[in-house]
Amino acid sequence: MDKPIVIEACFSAIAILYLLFSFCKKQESLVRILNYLTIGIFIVFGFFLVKELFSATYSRGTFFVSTPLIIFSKLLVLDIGIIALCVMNGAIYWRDYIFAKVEFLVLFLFMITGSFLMISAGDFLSLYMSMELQAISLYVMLAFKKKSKSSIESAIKYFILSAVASGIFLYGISFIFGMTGTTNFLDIYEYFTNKSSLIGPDRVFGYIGITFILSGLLFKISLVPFHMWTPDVYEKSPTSIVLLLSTLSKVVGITVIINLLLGPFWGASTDWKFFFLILGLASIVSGSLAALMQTNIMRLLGFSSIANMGFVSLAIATGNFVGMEKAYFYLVVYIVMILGVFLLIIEGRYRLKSVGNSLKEIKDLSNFSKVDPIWSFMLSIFLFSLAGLPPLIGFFSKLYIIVALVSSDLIFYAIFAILFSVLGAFYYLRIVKTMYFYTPSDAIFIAQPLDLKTFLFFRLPGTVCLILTLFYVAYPDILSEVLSFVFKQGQIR
Amino acid sequence: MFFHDFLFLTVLIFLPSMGAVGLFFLRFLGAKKQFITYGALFLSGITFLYALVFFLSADFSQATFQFIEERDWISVLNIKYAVGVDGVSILFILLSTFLCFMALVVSAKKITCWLQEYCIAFLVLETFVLGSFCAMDLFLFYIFFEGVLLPMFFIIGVWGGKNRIYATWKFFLYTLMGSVLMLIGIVYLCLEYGTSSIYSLYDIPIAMSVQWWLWLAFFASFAVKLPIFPFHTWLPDAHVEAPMAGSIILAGILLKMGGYGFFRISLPIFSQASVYFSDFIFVLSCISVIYASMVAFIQKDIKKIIAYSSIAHMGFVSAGLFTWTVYGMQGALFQMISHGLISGAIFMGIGFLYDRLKTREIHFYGGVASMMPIFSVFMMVMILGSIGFPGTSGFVGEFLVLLGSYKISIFLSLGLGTGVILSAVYGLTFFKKIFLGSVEEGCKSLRRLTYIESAPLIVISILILGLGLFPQKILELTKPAVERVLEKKQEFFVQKVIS
Repeated sequence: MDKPIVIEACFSAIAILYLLFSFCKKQESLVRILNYLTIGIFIVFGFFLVKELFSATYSRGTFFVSTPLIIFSKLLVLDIGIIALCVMNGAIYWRDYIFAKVEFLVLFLFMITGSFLMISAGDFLSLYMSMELQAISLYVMLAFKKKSKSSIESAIKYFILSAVASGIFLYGISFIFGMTGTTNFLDIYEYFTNKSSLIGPDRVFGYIGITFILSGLLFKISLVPFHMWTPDVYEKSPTSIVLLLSTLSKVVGITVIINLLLGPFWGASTDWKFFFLILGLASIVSGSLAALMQTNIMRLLGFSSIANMGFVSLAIATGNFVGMEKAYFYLVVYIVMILGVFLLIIEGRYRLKSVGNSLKEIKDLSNFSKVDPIWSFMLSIFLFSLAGLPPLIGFFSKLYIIVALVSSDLIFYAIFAILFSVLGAFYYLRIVKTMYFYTPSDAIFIAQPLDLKTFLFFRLPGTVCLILTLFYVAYPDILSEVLSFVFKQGQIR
Repeated sequence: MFFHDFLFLTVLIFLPSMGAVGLFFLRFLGAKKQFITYGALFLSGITFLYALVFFLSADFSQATFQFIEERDWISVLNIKYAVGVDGVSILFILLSTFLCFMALVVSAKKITCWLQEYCIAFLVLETFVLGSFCAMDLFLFYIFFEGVLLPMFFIIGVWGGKNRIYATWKFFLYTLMGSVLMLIGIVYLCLEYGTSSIYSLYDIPIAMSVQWWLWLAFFASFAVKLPIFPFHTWLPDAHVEAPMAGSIILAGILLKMGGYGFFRISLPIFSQASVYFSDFIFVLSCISVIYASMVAFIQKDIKKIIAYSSIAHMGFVSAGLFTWTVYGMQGALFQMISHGLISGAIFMGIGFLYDRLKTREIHFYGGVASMMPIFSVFMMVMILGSIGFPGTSGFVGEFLVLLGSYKISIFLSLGLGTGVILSAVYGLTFFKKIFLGSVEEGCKSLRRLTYIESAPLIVISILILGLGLFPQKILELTKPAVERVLEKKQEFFVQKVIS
């Protein structure tokens, strides 16, 4: 694997190959087989990526590059992809046939391809192209439930806003191009590190360009002024796709942002530091405050994702390698926890379908600890962890954010952020309260029993997340050592 | 020594929670209710015996920490997993293992729903409590200190009284709010001074301008936990709504974690700032003592009376610790131990009454003494201990604190002394209203104590009287640690004179 985009090429080839199958009559069983096949392919490519990560020779082309950070994020994307495929398989098993189409799988593969290309882009043009590839697949997937009005509405909402965001992104590129005469990351990096050129109109142009480019990307991770789509899309789109939006999209967005900040925009760090600081604080405040009043589970998770991305943004705002590393740590931990939550909720929805409980509102969960004690226990552990309670993994992510802020002399921002995380505890634990603290007189649903396939597709990946959440405290060095290897200075650019 | 190669403290800390994990899987496999209950009782009993054997076989006459275990834990921040004990910690370890065992013994039969989960939550709680008394690293301390919230959230919320949800939120958010500020303080200490180990920080001089802020950050956490006057409002709610065993643990152990934190961290590490803030603490303590005693007097809910009396007694602890005298500090430590036993036993007794009458309103009670004579005798001992009657352990603690405070200021001892008098007022009124007088209608059918119920009361009564008559053993244990803290302060003053 000496060229950086061999895997991506393979993915597109496989996707086109799959497209040939879309003429077959019996789609369900076919899709199931292809799903298993894709999981296998993902695992094989995962091994290749791990090998490449530790090989210490990274290829660098003009348009696409490969660094430890990029490879690590690709691994993360692959993991999320495997879990998403499990969820799709589970959906087919529960006769939710919207995913039982080969086109869907093809779109999914194109989205993974787009994400990979986006992560490994080394030039603004290739970044833009791959961003669009990812986004277009995502629009179609969001609108895949074509009979449901609300799903279509949210897909259109996301489509329009995202189109505007990428327009702004492209406009920002034109500013940078006009200023530097190039779109290549390395050349721009050299231009910006040469400080003397950043005065007068150049500085203004550079500032506008950077701001526009970052705005286009911040839309993907829903930081505050660009967050308006989040709650609606979370609430109304199919939850399996929201799972991708809330994990994969964020990994890709933040990796690209970190790549840009440590790469081309490194020289202009004084300009963007403040930007991230303010947006991070605004996200934490508005996300937490809005989440307090939500009654819908998915909307709550949407607002909580805004608040969580605020924490990531604060760590990015420190503007040094340590801060970026901690931001990435937070991201990985957030993904572990939120994947667990999503898997459990999707599982619960399928198992409660027969009693007409769609598990949309928080109050649908009332007295759930009686319905399925293990399910409730797992969900409450994830929520406690999201709230940042100590022995769980979520505490370590918050701790590292504080460490990053305090070591960069941003103590008051740290105090502010951590006080708002107490507010976070309130809205996450409202769900726990609903599950555990109600009187026995509340109605109790009879959920369908947990059979083997449901266990394999939903509960098993959820259990892996749970084990990570619960027992990370015993070996807290593992992830941070991997990340410090990934973020070693000099390997990034 | 024999114990040196053996992970004594780690085993002690994690014995209950490992047992809880085992019970969880047994429950998962469908073990019987009875089996799990007895398993939990056995585990907490074994933990207590383990701590007792440890206490009897080790020598705590030195001021140093013993049985220290250190291993790398979070190497990025140079944080170590470090545990150790000295004469003060071992007392709190004994107290917690004892009270956890007693609480499980008296309450296990009475829980009707989620019995297995109750036992598991209790064992996990015991681990966190023991861990915070053993931790020799600030991060480890924080994790255990804060982890207590997780089982407590469920213990109050699931098995609590009518208004439990409100009480749970209040308890949870207050404590969390206080301790996140401490977390920032710990991170700052760790980054600035390169270590978060408690005994290494004892020897590191910290500039006053920094100490000031750090002291306040730690104060936010410990003052909520202890609680000191303006931060106390979570306590009556949480105590009232918690189930009986939850109240026993809350009053008996969790409040002590605040005082322990002051003694172990704030006083020695930030000694300069502690001296600076001691007047502030005295004022708050006096307010705590007098205000809480007066509020306790007018309460109609019997659990609330004891809850407010806890606040008053904790006022003695904070005042005693900050007098910087051997008497005052030893008195404060003694008061914590004795209050743990006394209030635990009183909450136990109230729990027994509640089980019989299903009400906590004081005017439904009256003349209980003629129906339950033995129980009344035990409760008399507890109440006398609570008001600091000579011969009980409560007297020793309060007397020593008063002695220490007299050296500081006559007004402080006047304030605290008023508290002693007021405690007699509400304590004896409490006793009179419930146990004496004519027998109320509802009280006519009161059953006597069962053996399981009376056994813990007998043991605790003996302990209260024994500690009151022979306090020397505990005072000997705490003396080296107290003297070390005082030396630390002395060093600072010597430095100041030289410079």
